[in-house]
Amino acid sequence: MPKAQDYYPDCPEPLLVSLARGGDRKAFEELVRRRQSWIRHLMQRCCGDRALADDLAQQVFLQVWLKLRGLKEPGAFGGWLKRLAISIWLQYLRKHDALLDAEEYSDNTAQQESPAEAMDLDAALSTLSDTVRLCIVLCYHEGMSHKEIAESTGLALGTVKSHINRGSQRLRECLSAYAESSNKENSL
Amino acid sequence: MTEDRDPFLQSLFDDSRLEPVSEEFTSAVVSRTYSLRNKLITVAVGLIVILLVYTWFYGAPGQGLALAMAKFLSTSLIDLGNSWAALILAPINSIAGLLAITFKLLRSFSKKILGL
Repeated sequence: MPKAQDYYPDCPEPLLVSLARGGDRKAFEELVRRRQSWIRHLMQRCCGDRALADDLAQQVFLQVWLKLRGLKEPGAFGGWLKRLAISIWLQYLRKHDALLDAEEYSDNTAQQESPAEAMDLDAALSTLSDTVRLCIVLCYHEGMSHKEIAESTGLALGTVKSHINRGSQRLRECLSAYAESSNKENSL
Repeated sequence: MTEDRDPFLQSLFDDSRLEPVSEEFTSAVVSRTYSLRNKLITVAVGLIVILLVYTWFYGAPGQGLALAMAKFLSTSLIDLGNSWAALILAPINSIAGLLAITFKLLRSFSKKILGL
């Protein structure tokens, strides 16, 4: 006779959230399985390091496990999870003093490769400072509006706009060489 | 909302692949929740044990101290004997009442004068 847990992979997410909130570990496990890809990818875009991204993603899910009872609306799980992930990333930055962004770009800018060298998106993102990168990732990767980014990160709306404008410009500069080299390879 | 989005960058972000689902990651998260739960249980049990030991050894002296404090705080400032006035004025005719009134006055002073 099949167990109720055998049906979890087909369960709607709000139901799984309700079950996990009540202490069902298998439901929580299924939530981790469903959402891990998104959170790990988001974290990797933010930090540019796969191992660190996985560690941070694990911390996000630990927080989910600890705080899930506080989530009143199971249907709002996705947005809640995203806010939790952003908060974990900001905590990490604060802990490592990385929010001291007096300069617009990180040290990687100084080691920038020559324009002739191709640069992919992850490498281009790594040339941005942590806060600029976070704003860019939330804007392009998560599709969040400037206002939503300001609310999630605690940055001023003007700062968010400025970070996104300058970050986009910087990425375009870095990636134009990549686009050109890709076009050349395709034409050969 | 598509405020100030560069179409070239947006296409690059859209093309990027998601991380593949990893069962290893799922089991790592689950095992970390188990170990966190065990830590929380250990801390809770430890606190209960400390509380029990404290009550066992220091329960009586603690109770004595509390009684002495209560007696001291309820000491009358002015001796009114057993009259009805003594009963009515009991809340303010005590050291506790004096302390409460002083605290209240200081608080309103700090609010009005200092704006704290």
